[in-house]
Amino acid sequence: MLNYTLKRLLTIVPTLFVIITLTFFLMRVAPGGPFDEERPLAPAVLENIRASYGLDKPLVEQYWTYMGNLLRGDLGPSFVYRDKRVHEVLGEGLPISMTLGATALTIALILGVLLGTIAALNQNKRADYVIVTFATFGITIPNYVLAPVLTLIFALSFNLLPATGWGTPSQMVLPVLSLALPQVAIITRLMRGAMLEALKSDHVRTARAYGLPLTRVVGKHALRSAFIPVLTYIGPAAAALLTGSIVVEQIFNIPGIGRYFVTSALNRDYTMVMGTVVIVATFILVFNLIIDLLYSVLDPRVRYE
Amino acid sequence: MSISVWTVWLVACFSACCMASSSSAAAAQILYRGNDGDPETLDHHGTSVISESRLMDDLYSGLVDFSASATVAPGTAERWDISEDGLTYTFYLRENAAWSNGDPVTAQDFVFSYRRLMNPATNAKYATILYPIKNAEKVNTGALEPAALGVRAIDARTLEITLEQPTPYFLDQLTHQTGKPLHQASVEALGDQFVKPGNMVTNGAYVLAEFVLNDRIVMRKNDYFYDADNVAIEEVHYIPFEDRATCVRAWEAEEVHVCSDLPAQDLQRLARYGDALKVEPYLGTYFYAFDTTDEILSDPEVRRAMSMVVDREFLADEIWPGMIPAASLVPVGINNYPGGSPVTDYFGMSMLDREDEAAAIMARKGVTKKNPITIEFMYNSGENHKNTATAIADMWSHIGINVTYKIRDVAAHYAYLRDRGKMQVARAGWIGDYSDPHNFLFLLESHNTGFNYAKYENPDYDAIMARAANELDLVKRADILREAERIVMRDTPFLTIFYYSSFGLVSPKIRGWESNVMNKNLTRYLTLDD
Repeated sequence: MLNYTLKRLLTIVPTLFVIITLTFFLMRVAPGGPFDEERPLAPAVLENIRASYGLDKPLVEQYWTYMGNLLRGDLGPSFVYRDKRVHEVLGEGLPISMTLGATALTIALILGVLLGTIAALNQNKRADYVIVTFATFGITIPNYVLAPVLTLIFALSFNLLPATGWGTPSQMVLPVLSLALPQVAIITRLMRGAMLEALKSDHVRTARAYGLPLTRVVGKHALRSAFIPVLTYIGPAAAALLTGSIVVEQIFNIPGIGRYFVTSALNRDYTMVMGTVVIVATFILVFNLIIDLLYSVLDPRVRYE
Repeated sequence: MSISVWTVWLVACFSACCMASSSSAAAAQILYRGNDGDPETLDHHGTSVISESRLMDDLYSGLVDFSASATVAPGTAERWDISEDGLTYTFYLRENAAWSNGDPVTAQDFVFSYRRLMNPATNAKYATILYPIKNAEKVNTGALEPAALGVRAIDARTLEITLEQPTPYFLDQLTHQTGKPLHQASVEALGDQFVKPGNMVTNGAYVLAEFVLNDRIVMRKNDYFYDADNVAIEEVHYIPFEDRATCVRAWEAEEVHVCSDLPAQDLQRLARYGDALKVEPYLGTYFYAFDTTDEILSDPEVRRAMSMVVDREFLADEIWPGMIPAASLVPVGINNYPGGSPVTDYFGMSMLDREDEAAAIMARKGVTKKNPITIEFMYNSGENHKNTATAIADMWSHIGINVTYKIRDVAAHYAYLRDRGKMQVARAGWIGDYSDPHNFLFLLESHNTGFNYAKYENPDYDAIMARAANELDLVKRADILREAERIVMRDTPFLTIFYYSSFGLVSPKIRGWESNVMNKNLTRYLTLDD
């Protein structure tokens, strides 16, 4: 297991290297640069600015400079926020995005697993129908619809919660709900399906034949195997949630890093694009590893050598 | 969960609710202003856009400042003399002008700031605004040392600026944020850290207290400001909104007092807020540039026909609400243009007559609906740009011109225009940096390779513009500029479509908000009702 983990950790390095290299060159293929705006700069000024960021040097030289800085943990200067470096900008926003994402994920996991299990145990009864209807509803309503509707109801009509901002618990409620509800729906459906499957499996039937109480059978035996499909889903979902949601952060004006995935590409803020790619790629690779390791905990048949 | 944990949670929730409600209770002293975005930097030499100029106008006071209605008013300089030849400006600084740390504002602070602005190492994006200053361009391009700039401190409170040539709009240009001073001692001591809260020394009505990226910029009243007695608002919070619809929701929830821009499609719904909704003419023109070197479009008659057939009223009513139909390149309401833009004949005709005449012009060129030509139309992505382009393409189809589209994002679109790539028609626009017709008409001067997307070259036009530059009498100068504008409207290198409007939501609690063509409302002139 330790060997396996080390091996996997080692493969993360070349994978990241390939991703970073590809992004670096693909980004430069896009026409236009970070200083091409609606209001163009005087040619001499543009020349100066490009030179001060090293953009006048050959691309390969820029690449090696970037990689050298990256190895030292420096993601370079932002082309858009001139007073800050990329790691500072991302360092300010990432904890906010992660708090939002982790809270939403926790709620989604607890509610999703609970509702999915209840639905499965009451298959084709009223509780099941209610839950499945809710889940279908939740999957089909995207959060760019859900978030403004929640704002309209709770902030503008009833004045119960703030419409925008971040920092106080009351400001967290609507964004967390908007982010969590679609995830609750997805996890509920996955859990329901997997639980139905698990309840029919041999080891659960055996457990019940031994006369073990239902709560114990479900809680100890069925849940473990039913959780595997959810776990598969959670890996990439967690990486996406923790690195910020452009939609939810924009609608509630939350200073996370979600916006940079879009704005940095549009602004040709090369270093910021690279920064976001490095973060997301790292999250995905690490979460996939964690999920793979958790498989062996949940399913005794999985062994890593 | 133990009881104590519950208690903590409840207290946290309760205090959060209190904070949420206290923000509106404390509104008597604190103004919450929605802004279009965060600044690229708080070093005003690095700034360029309007959302940044709002911050700078609150933080700094230049030689001249904007009045409440955004006309030129005395700022740190209480008065000035202009030499008869229009080349030398002498500014006399106020005795009580002081920095936020108590230091007096001196003429040397301006000298330092302007030299730094022009120093190529500063990378000031908008140094060009002050190119009328003697040797400015040469310093900015590295041909001369910054000390050669035509700015000098005669004594601590007297500043002399020498110009390259008489520039009647020079005072308007000085209202731009690049014309503001810097506190020499702190900039030299702290380097690029001088813009951090706690470090930043400013001479305007406010001083920086807090800057949280994408969240808020907090400024407090500067007690050393020369007119501090007349500043009512104690604290202003600038909240950046990437999404304009989000600002509208925050405004409706009374979390901000002002939204600096609105989504055009919401204007109709927001009309129910009455006077709080501000839709005002803005100093900007939206146009299509024809490539005048193109085989088909080099013919001014073709360009004229294509302009004639565009129904601007329909576009402003049905396609892009809030925009104003444009019959000239220079927007209405601009300063220094007594008499205003010339009248172009076909704008007085009915649309049907215009269509007939345009079709007749094209028919003479052998182009009809049955025998159409196809041109390529370039624009940058955006819902309103797309709708406008589609509607205009339909209008052109009536005179035998079909359109294929090339759509890029903003950066790619403008990079293509900058590189003077091959094109036929391209969408563009211009927002004035200072309120003078020159700031629009110079776009089409032959040597202006950066902005003259039409590649329009007309020696007569250049000569008229040069003549205007040397005319100090505003009325005579307006006549000359009108002549220039008449030529561009006749030759139609740009097909002008709209004048921009500025949109905003302003809480009824705010007093002193004077709408103006510059879309500038300095916090120091505002007050808040309880």
